[in-house]
Amino acid sequence: MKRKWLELSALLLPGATIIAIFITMMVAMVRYSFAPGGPSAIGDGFTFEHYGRFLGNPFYWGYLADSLRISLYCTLLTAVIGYIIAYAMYRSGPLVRLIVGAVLIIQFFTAYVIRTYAVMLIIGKTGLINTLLLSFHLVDQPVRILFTEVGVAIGLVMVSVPFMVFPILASLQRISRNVEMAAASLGATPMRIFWTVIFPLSLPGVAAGIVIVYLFELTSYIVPGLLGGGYSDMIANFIYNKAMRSFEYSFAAAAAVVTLLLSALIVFTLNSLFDRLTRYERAR
Amino acid sequence: MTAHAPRHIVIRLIGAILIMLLILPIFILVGVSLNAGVEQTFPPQGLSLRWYENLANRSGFIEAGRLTLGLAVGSSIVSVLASLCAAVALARYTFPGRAFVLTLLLSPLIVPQVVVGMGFLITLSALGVFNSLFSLSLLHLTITLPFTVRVVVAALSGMPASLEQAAQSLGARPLRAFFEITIPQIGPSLVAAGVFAFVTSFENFTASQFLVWDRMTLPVAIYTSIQTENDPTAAALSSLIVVIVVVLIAIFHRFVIKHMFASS
Amino acid sequence: MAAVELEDIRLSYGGLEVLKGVSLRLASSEFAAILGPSGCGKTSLLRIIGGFSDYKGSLRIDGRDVAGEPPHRRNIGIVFQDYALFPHKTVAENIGYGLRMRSIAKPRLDERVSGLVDLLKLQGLEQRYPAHLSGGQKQRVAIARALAIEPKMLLLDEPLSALDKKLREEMQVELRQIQKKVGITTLFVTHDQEEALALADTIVIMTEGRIRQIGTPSDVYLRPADEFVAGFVGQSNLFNAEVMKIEGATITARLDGGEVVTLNSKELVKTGNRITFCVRPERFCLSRPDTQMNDANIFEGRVDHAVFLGSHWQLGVTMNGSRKIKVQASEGRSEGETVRLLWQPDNAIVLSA
Repeated sequence: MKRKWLELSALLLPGATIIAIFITMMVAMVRYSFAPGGPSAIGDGFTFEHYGRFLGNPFYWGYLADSLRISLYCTLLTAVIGYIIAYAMYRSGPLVRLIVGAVLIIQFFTAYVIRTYAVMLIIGKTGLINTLLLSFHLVDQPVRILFTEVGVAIGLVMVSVPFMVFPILASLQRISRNVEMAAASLGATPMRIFWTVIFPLSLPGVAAGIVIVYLFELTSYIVPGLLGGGYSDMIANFIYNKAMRSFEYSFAAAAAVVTLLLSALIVFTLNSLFDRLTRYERAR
Repeated sequence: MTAHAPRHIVIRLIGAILIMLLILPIFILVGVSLNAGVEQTFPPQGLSLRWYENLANRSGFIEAGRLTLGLAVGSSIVSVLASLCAAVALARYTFPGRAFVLTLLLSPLIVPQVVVGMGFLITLSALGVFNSLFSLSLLHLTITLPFTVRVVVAALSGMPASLEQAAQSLGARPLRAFFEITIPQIGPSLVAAGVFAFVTSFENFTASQFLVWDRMTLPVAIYTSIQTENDPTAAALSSLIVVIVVVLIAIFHRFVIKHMFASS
Repeated sequence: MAAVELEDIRLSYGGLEVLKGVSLRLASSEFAAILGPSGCGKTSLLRIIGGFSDYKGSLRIDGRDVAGEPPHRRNIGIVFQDYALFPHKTVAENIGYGLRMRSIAKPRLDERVSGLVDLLKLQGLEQRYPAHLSGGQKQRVAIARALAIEPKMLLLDEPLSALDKKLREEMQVELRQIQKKVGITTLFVTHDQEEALALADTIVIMTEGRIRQIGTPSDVYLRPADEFVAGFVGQSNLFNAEVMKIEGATITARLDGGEVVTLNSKELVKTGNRITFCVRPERFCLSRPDTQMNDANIFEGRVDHAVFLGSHWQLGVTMNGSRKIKVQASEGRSEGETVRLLWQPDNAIVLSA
């Protein structure tokens, strides 16, 4: 009996150690966010000054607000595009699914930095869009898309779509084929079958995708960093700048803690909301 | 196949257009990298491989590449082994708080990258640790573990316990039964876990950039190059990586496909 | 061959008592079945004997207490419900696995494997992988693999439940033959009472973690120990009655509905006792105009439903407007028809009061 506990502890040790380190880092960060001190200093003591500073100044918490706003409409856009792609895949043969799946997986496994850079090359001054616009004489000068919020939005959507497609596709594939045939036999047109049967049944996948994507876009660094060029910083950029440019570690930590709490709140809220909306799915 | 293909032609067409828009950037990337001149234009003005050849001279990239590769290989191996042990513990032993342990093991997944990076930065700075290799190793272990745990736990619980028990009843000692019977069964999943871990570590940027003191990782180097340099160098390096990724996927596609649908 | 003794075995799982004091004795070469509904604890018992579960109480195999002995040293052959064939090994490799563990030399190993292949009629399948075998074939490979190690006993967990009816009946016969031939002590677990009746020398009826009766198939069928056994093994019709008169072995009793019946039973009852007795569906005769009445009991009723099952008819008859009786008859009747059911006093099974 004693041996079993020994074995168990030994097995859990490596994983537990790694997680312990992680949790220690997180807890320490929370601790230091309450530490007084300005640039390059992490003092002893306890203070709310950093939180006060962050939450009190609209210039600061504005980054959070902007991030929430941008991610919101980008996530919705991603959801629509992702759903269309997933549904098109669902209605196609195995070969098409394989090819499209391969394309998405390649996207999935290519670093965000690279993918975002590639978007830069499309929306930049000498990029594809401007080249086309200029050569068709639709504009006289290159249009500025890069380094604006629009550019960031385009980037966010393009980078997030693969995350949306897979959960939706999985959820579509879980729908029993017979359900559609039953609906048709009862007189429903294809359009109605989609809106009253297929779409509702695929919602859990959409919900899962939305939660993943929203959180990802909210805390995204690379896209606003490269495509925003400082003009459209989001919360992640803010935290980084405060930490690595001004060395205001504790202040940055406070902002990070607020972001973490907000993320947790959002995940919890979205999950509860979606759970209630898709209650029928779990009766099986 | 569900309903008749012709009826869905509209949606499939729209889907096709969207997918092509999605791959477009990669094509542009490759195209830009082949520019003969220094301008990052598309279509490329003149074709040349000079920027690829140039990479060989960029010791900064090569160094960063080595570091990143080492981190990726190291953390995937350690993560897979650690998750294998943890998965066995969770699957074959009953103890209070099992669900909680699993949640803990997966916890880094729900923390935003920037927060993870911040946490590591501030703690290590407070402790006076300014060694990039050490810090990055810890970071990458933390980041890759939840991915491997998810895959390996799913694989192990998908395998009926009766297989190992049958081997034991036939005289195989528990350890032997594990290696001869269980491991071959979950082998493909272990490979998939390794691949996921490798990719996650290799491409990690947001958290890693906080720990760049004396050495930097490849994604960080690329990012810096994009912001500071004005020629297709970064494009060449990026295209090279994409090609490598495509090759890797082609080799490992069997293992990876079925895990793509795991929900968090 | 091993003799097995279980004494007061108890097992709790997460607050739930799965086994509540099970005692059982198996003689060498005995073929016993543990029969019971799902969740009665029979599989847990099997796992305990195999060494895969902790337990309280005593388990002795061949007179030796095996507490703490790990499974790989018990030398017990196990056939799992899902067969548990190693998917990455061929049929021959599966069967030879236990022999490999015992470091048997290759020539001997091959010889033994081919002997079992012949015994279990698996010729031609030696190089196949489990994925390419039918259910029946997998079953036989699992049995061969367990027998290969020349175990001191064989445990089977619902061995035939995954097979279709015809195959199941064939395998039942084969299993019996093999067991007799090899003479191995065998314990198998099932919820299918027909299977238990067909295969076993001894049947152990279990429910809710306890043993209700141990006996031969005819013991258990003709002399069920209580209501549960009567209802579980075979079909039954249960009646409550009050004893009015006793004359030797003949009991006169009045049913709750007022009918008076005569029963022959050795059970000790007293006048005024309330008893429960059971009459099997096949013991009812449908009366015809020329039927001899003798001292048979007569129930009158209307036919609720009549189902033709090929070899016999299954009728549901309502007596006195409320009580429902299941009847198995060799001829049919139409729904709504009035029938008279005759049954002999000897065919009443009085259950312990």
